[in-house]
Amino acid sequence: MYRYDAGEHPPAAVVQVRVSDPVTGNQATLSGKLDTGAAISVLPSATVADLDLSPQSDVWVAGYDAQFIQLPAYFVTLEVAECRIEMLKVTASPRTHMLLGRDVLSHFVATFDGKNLTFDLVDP
Amino acid sequence: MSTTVTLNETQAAYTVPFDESVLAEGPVFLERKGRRVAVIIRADEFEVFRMWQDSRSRQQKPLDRLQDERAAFQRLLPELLKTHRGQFVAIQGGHLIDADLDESALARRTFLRADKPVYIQEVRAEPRVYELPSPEVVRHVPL
Repeated sequence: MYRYDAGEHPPAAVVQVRVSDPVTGNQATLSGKLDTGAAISVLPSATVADLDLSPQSDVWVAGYDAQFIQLPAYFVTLEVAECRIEMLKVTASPRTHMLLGRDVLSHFVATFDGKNLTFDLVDP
Repeated sequence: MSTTVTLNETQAAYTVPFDESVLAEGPVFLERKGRRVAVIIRADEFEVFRMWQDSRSRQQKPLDRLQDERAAFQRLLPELLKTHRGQFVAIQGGHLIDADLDESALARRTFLRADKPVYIQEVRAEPRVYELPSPEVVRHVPL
């Protein structure tokens, strides 16, 4: 069971994520915000730079305003909520948290208890 | 709302009559011979624009690194649609080097033997568009 991050307004479901480059083994630990609206997970650009990730693909994304933009994509290994997801394709943008989209959430049974500001991620 | 100032004498050194409060209503366009040649905007709006421009530039650099392989993918796509539709393909040196229905498995195989950039893409007539509706309201984040 995890607690919502009350530093967010409104409070948000945030977990620690370890991201690593499957080629070099470089890794970083950062906060990941659960986002059921995101079809693909997003790394902060700073993490891409820290890990010296090389782009291996690109993706078209549509934002909240339906504007399309092409972004580089990277393959990484994620460790989140005691689950390891290998060779996950993610993209990146300048942001503070990682966004954990449905490509990650689909590995879990996710339970949100907004009343009590708790959530759970279980890998069945 | 915007304002337009027309520049008439091309040889003249201009002093554009300017009231800063006009910018509160929108940008001021400078025109010469009916064509917009410059825009005056508020300094804080310019800073936001410059941050956006920097961000776009940083995102463009990694895309540029894939340009050759992406161009090869586009060149090969008509044939790939006949032979590998719905699969993921790996392009290296302008050539198809591997394919798989499982993108992660393909990435794992190709990365192990990659000594040059590998471009991995799904073979579709139109590129897949990922929904990413979550903007982040921030002024400064590390790039």
